[in-house]
Amino acid sequence: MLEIKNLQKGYNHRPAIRGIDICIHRGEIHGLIGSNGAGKTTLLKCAAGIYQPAQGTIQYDGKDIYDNPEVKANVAYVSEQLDFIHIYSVSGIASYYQNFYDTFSREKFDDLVKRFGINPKKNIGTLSKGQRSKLHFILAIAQQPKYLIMDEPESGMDAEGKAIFRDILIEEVEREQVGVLFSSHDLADVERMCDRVTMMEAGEVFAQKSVDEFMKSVQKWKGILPRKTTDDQLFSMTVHAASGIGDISEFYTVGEREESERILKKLGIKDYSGQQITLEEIYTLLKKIGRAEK
Amino acid sequence: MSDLKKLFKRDRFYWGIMTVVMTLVVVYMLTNTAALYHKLFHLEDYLERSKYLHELWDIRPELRNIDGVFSDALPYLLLEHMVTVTVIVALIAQAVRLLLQETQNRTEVLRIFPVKSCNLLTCHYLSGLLTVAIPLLIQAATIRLDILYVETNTEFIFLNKEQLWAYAVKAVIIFMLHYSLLIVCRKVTNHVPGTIFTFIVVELAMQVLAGYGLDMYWDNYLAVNNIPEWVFVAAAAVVLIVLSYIADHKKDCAGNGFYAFPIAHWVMMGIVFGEIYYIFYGVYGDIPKVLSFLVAIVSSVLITAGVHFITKPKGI
Repeated sequence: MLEIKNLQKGYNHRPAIRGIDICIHRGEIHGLIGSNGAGKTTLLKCAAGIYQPAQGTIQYDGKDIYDNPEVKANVAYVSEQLDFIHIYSVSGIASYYQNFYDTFSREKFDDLVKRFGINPKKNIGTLSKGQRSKLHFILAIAQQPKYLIMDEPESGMDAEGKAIFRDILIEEVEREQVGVLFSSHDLADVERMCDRVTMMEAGEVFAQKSVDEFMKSVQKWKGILPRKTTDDQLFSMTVHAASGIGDISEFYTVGEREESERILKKLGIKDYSGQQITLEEIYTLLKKIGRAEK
Repeated sequence: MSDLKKLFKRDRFYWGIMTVVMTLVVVYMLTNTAALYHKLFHLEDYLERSKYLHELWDIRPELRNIDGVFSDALPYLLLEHMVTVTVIVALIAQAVRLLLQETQNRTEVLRIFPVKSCNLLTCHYLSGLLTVAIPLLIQAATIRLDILYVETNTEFIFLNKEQLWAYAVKAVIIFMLHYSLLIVCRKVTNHVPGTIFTFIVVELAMQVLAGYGLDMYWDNYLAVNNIPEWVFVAAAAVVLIVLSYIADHKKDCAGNGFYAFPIAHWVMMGIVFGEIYYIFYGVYGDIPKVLSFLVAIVSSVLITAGVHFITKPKGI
């Protein structure tokens, strides 16, 4: 289990993340979403043992990761900044990794390189951004880790590459019970792949649930709002983001479905119907509510 | 040990290049030495060049008179040439290797691998030591053989062997002093511009101290009876090495390190200002004092401002 408790970290005396708690079991995929500058990369770098926490702990199966080779041998990190040494070829960088990781599988690496369609003789400096993203992911999987920490791993990948990435990730999680923590701006992918999701803003976690729980906690509706309904009335009844009063409007309610229906009836909303909601809409709404409450 | 094995294996490309380069340097030096003593070129030309070199660098002003200088100038010249070429090549190679591996992003990449941080540091030190020490010792041994040949076949008496080895060992100590200072600066500043400027500031301070009589550098250092100063320099290198391990243990690679503290930043700017003023005041000996003062002030302000903007932490 990866346990992050009360994690705090900053740069040059400015806090970047505060009071982060996350728990990830093996075989679980945990998504991390947030706006730019929310602190996702800082959190992931601390989880990968690159940065030392200013406060709090990060433990894998009860052992701290920072400057601990025994733990790092079982953790693979895919960075958003793909800084390989460019004199290496694709095949050469595999040898580089193989030197450090006893569990590195050359057969797996070669198989994945073929699957992604990358030429192993090509020099890294000549690869495109998307190809380097794929290579970085391949190196991480070839390490055969117990935990996988990834910072926007699909960055620059084409649609086909993303599909292969998803398939491989799910295969590894199911077969090897790899625990995964990854950040992404593609919320559709996060919704599709993740078991649990942490939402961050300004260095803090403002929501953390399983994907199912998120889907049940916010409802999307279409209906006719009475003409005299005010925004304050709606907000006080946890109805949000209504577009247009008096016409057919789309709006959201925070809470379980039955409770939400009671609220809609109380407000006199007529002819309402439940709509399919996405994780992206939930994230946007919860972030907006968080800002409004502050 | 297994960490160090992995790190040296990682750097095998670098070691391969260094072996080839250092072999060429040693061959070059041996060829020059052999050419000299087997009189493949005219001795008077070499003495003329050695006189010019000394005049140019003002190393030994008392040796400007060529007559009778052969037994003193030539061996020193050879040794200085040998050590300087080796150290310069080694320093350039190490700088390139460190630049490739120790920029901000690459340092973070290195932290991913299952290697203890102190072992990464040990690898840097061993790499630096081996790159300089082994070539120097090889060269000292090969030149000693050459000297033996000359002494056997002529009446000429070269340097005694203690001075030769002392000079080689001193070069290693001096190299480790500068190298460990560079690494400490890297560890406490966390970014390349901060590293370079901090290194220059401390180096200039050491030069100033040397000017006040500590004789920390090359001059008057060949004789083995200068042991106290020799030990002082070695002890300074050891202290810096220990500081680098402490800094490595205490500080990770996030942020700007030392320069993140505004007070430390401004103190460093004050020192930079003072040092640049000290260097530039009186550099043009034949101009009026007021102009000299202006040159020093303008240079100090401009250079300090440049250093400030490159190294300043956010919030200043």
